[in-house]
Amino acid sequence: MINFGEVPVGSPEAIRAWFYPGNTIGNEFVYPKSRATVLAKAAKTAVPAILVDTADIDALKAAPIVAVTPDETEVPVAAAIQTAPATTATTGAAPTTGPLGATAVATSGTMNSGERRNLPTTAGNLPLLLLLGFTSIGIAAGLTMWTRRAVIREV
Amino acid sequence: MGVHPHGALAMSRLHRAAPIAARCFFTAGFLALEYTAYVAIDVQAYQKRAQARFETARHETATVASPAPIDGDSIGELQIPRLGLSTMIVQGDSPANLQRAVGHLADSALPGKNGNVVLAGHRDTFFRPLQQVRAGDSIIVRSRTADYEHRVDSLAVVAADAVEVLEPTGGRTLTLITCFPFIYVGPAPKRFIVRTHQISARERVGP
Repeated sequence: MINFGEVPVGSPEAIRAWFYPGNTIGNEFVYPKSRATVLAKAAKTAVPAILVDTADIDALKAAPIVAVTPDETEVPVAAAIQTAPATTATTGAAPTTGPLGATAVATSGTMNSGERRNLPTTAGNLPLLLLLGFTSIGIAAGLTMWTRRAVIREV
Repeated sequence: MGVHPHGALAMSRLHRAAPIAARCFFTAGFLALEYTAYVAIDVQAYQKRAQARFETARHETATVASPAPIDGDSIGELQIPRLGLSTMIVQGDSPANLQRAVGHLADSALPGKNGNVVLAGHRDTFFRPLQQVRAGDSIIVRSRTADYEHRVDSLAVVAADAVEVLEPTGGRTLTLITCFPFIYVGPAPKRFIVRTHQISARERVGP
């Protein structure tokens, strides 16, 4: 599933984020800060930006990511980026490198409850085991006492 | 009055079998209690390790978008101050995950994101205090990048197949799920639902 950004009439579609089928974690382009600033002002929306100017893949993986708002301020990416797909399922997409020299960042989605038939099972077996444990030991104690009494009676 | 020879023989056999049965019951009971104790100790140790890993990750990744969590990852901490509840949240709601922590349903929104964040926990361990929760209580979810405060809106008891509680709500909501009744041996037939909405977010701006 692909999310498109708003563009002027007659302009090509602008890909904003994409989600693989069945995933609620998607990918979104992260731009160099200067480019993100231009895009944020033009699109009037927050754009993810990377704060280092390098093409080194390892450096990009560890580089901090922020969101640049239309008024050119930097805010934490979690506070500004809210891309949600219409349909969903599980997690899975790790950050990847996308086209245009941009890095992809994970975003979050919502649940499609149609894939579940029941709510999670939230009762463990520990109380049952505890009950069985004490009951078994109680029976063992009772049998032992009964046997001893019988032996004493015979003697 | 004498004892019937067949009755005496049967009693004699019972007396011989009783000590063996007693030993079997004692061994089974001891193993059950030992396993229960092992699980309890394992949960405590896991919670401590997960807490330490989470705090380290929180310190290191305060301003970096975290990669998508995988099953079993510690993704945050759940706190309900009034009830003294504090437990780690792991990704996924498999039985193994729910035995050691509160599980985040992988197909629900992540904490802090738009949508319905759904957490499930055992009613006989982590979510036992939920029987005391009430509307208006404050619930805090600490993620690697921010702290989110929620307010309890409603409580409900639903059937185990009421999956509609997982549906998106149009805002930033948190749904807690546990089994109901709280006092019950074996799989409980219903679910206790706590629905909240996010009232504030405090982003971490640096290590």
